[in-house]
Amino acid sequence: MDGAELVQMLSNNIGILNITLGNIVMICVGLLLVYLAVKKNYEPLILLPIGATAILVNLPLQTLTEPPHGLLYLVKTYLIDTEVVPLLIFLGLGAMTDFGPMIANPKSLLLGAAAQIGVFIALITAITLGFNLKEAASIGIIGGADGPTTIYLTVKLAPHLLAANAVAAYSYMALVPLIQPPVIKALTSREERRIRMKQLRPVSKTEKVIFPLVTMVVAGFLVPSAIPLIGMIMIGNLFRESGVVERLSKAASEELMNIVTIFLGLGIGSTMRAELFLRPATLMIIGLGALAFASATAVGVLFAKIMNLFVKEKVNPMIGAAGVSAVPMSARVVQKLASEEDPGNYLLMHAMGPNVAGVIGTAIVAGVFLSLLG
Amino acid sequence: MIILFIPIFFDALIVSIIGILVVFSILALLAIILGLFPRLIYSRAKIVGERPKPTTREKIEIKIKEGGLKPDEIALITTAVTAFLEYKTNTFMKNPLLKQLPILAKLFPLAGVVFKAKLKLSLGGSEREVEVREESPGTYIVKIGAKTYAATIKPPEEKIEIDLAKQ
Repeated sequence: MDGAELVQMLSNNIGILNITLGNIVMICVGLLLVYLAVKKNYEPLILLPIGATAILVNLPLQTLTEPPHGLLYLVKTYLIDTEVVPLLIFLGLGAMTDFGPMIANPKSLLLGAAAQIGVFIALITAITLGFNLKEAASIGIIGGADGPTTIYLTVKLAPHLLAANAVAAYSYMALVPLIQPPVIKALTSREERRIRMKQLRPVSKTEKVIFPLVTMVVAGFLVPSAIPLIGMIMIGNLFRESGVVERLSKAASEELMNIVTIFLGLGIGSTMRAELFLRPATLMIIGLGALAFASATAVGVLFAKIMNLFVKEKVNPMIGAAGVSAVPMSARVVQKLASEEDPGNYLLMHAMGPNVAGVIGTAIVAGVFLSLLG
Repeated sequence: MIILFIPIFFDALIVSIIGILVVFSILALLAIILGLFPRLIYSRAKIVGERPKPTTREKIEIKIKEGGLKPDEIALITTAVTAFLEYKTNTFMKNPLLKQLPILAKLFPLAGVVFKAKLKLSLGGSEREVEVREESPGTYIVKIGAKTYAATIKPPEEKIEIDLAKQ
């Protein structure tokens, strides 16, 4: 081996000599996500693993994402691309969710439906920006504020946008406390924000047990392509509400949820390589994600105001904003705004109704997209 | 360029319209089913008699004639009147004669007998003392602290009308 060959071999095996500008940018993006997770506590459970993995996969010469045996390649191929992880997250989500406030106030389902209009506003905007219909649908679903649903749909319709869509969805979910208040305040008067709502009726165990079964059947009969998402969340919820499988409920909501969240973070982070992520489309998706969130919030609030024209017992229009399914952040945002206007106004449980209805609504919209475009 | 967009734009519009219709239909259907839940689930209990008969408190419907009252004031006045009526009925029922002929109770006001009671009500965790006096049949004066309110019950609808905001 002569000197030139030695230098060549060394340069091929020393990372810093192979780093690109794209790698540096993506390492900075990864550091930003880690900063947001650690310092600002923005969705740390998901942004921290995504950010750390993004740094990892942009280190030159790494082999973690290389087929056939790279760990991150295996995670992405067998757990994300097969949709195992998003569906298991839905199972855990179901085991963590109390649908009681929604059962007590069925009108909140309509608020959850209204907020989904934001998804379609983002879809049409994405089309006008030059995305094709499948890509636009996968971008629009970000407005549903539901990370697993966004991943589930994107993997099926536009897998090349997975990283950008997932990062946009989770980042904006973390930014709900910053995005929603100005939109809500712009669309409501002080008097409207001060509306107090009647205490919700207690919901019996029987109702809570029947609800997931009924929802599964209704959604299954009408939108079969939504069955995987709706079915998993409802099975998880049945574990919780039945009260007879506490171990399974705990396993689904804690151990399983934690494990699949790690895999989700690793899998999504592994797609954040410079060559896949640094494209003009990513910037547009980040912008469209903000539009989707803001418009979903606005439509939810406006729908609640329209609803007030017809109902005897007025609803506080702010709870319409909780129709985006960022559970429970958007409900907390509503409670915070209500407390600012009237410290004795407790809207958290009222806002949880549209909030959990939004999860079902987003899953149904994903099912519709899969039926029409998949 | 804009023309190239049109077919896909219309496709997007159709997908959006279908999507909105489907999500509203399914969630509205679920809302209807959830709205029926209490009736469907609890009707059986009612039929087999497991649920007690509705009390005066449940039967009376509240109608506010004049605004200006806070929700907690309305709740307190309504609770006070219904509790007073239950208390009065229970007291009368202890008398064998009145038990046989409850219509006799209507003669008391004509004889100048006024029925009044001091009640302790627990509402929202705090206990309040209220005084209720039957001014005339169906009209009740409710004293809560320094404030006095008048409430009327109009048979046969059995509605409480709080017709004076504050006296």
